[in-house]
Amino acid sequence: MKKINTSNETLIVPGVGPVEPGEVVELPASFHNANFKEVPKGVIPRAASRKKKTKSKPKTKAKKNHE
Amino acid sequence: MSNYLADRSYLAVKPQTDPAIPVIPTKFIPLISESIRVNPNFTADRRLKGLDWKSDELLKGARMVEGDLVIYADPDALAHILNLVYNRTGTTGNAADGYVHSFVPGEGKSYSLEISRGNYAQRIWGARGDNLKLDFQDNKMVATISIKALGQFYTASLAANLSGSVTSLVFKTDYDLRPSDGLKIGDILIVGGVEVTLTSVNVDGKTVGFGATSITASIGDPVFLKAQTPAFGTAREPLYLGNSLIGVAATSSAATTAAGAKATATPCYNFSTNLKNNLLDAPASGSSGPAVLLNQVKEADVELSRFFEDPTQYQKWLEFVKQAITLIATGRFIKSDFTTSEKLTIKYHKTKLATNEEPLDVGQYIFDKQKFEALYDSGDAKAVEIELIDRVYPDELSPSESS
Repeated sequence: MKKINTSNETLIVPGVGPVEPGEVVELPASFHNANFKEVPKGVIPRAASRKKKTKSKPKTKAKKNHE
Repeated sequence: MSNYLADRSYLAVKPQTDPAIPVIPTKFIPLISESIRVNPNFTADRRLKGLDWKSDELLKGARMVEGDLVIYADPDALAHILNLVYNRTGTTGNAADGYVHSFVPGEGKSYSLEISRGNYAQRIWGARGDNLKLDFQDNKMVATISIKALGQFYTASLAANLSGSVTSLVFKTDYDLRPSDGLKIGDILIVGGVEVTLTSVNVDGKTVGFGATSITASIGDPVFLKAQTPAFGTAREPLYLGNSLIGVAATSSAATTAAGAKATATPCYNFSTNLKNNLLDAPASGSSGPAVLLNQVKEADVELSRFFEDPTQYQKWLEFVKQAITLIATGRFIKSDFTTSEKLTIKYHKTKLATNEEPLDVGQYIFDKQKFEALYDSGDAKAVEIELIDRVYPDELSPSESS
């Protein structure tokens, strides 16, 4: 179940770790905490949203030697 | 049968907009101990009934919900504790520099508190601080707050059988004519081994509604409030005696100046203070417990011990000379450039020694063991004022109905 931290501080969730304000995380159905509200389907939780960024080669223009 | 470790319990707090309207607590505070209890003041029914036994029944007396909470006074938790006891007159600052909260003697905020035991929670609502004791134990500042509250919900029982798919239940009124007071939409109740999330709390004070759920339970079966999964913020260190300076001088401004530096502060081997509201908690018609919780005459005192140097303090005691006291307890840096810190400043504008002892103990240095009565200073028009610098957003201390 996806839930969002509606408080204004980072909260330590057992079994999950720090959850920042406004962050969406996947939590078990048994999780019950008034700081966390269920979010609609389609919202990406933290684990899936943090995709690894791959380094791309910088684009450079080939220098033309003018003789 | 389940067994529960007390260490897994929690204390959660939140200020209310109205003393009679509970909210679901959301701020989790590390707890040392608690002793908040409902006291129905049961007494034996002593009417003449032809018995040679004391009684065959108990009768309810004036109900009280009261007890103590004990926490380490870290600056963030202390903000809520002070908010329970004194009136917050304003907050300045920001998240980067820290927030500066000012408190003066006055009506503190009513809070909803929640204390868990195993899978079950007790909601205490309309709570006010009656007495706050701050002292140092093993270098750490400890806050002991005596709480009085208007009501509580922990468990109640069913007034009717439940079978099949149901969308509401009614509580018995043996404990109170309004047993559901304290519950809010979004709370989870455990009934017949099934969890239901409340979608309504009826104004009749005994009916609650939820989504259609298959439940099998009988009249008199208990219903419990489910505990939340605690989610604490960043743990803060308590304020320490070693990082505190105490200034004692003829005026409050001089005492505050003296407390600004170790060279001018008075080394104290013990410091404690009590801030009392002496809350009116009498029941009235229409209320089995306190009708309202209002400050009566406020008072405060300070106890400290310092080395005996000469009989000067004895003279000040005998001749009841005014002394002002300022405590400045500094914590961790808040701003990244180390220019602002967590800080608690308590100013007692006028005190006089109520007792001053210089006991002689074998093998010990001689100390002035002093108890000061905090008095109202007509010149400063103040008795006590408190300033707290921490990271607590001001809207956390402002009452809100949203939960």
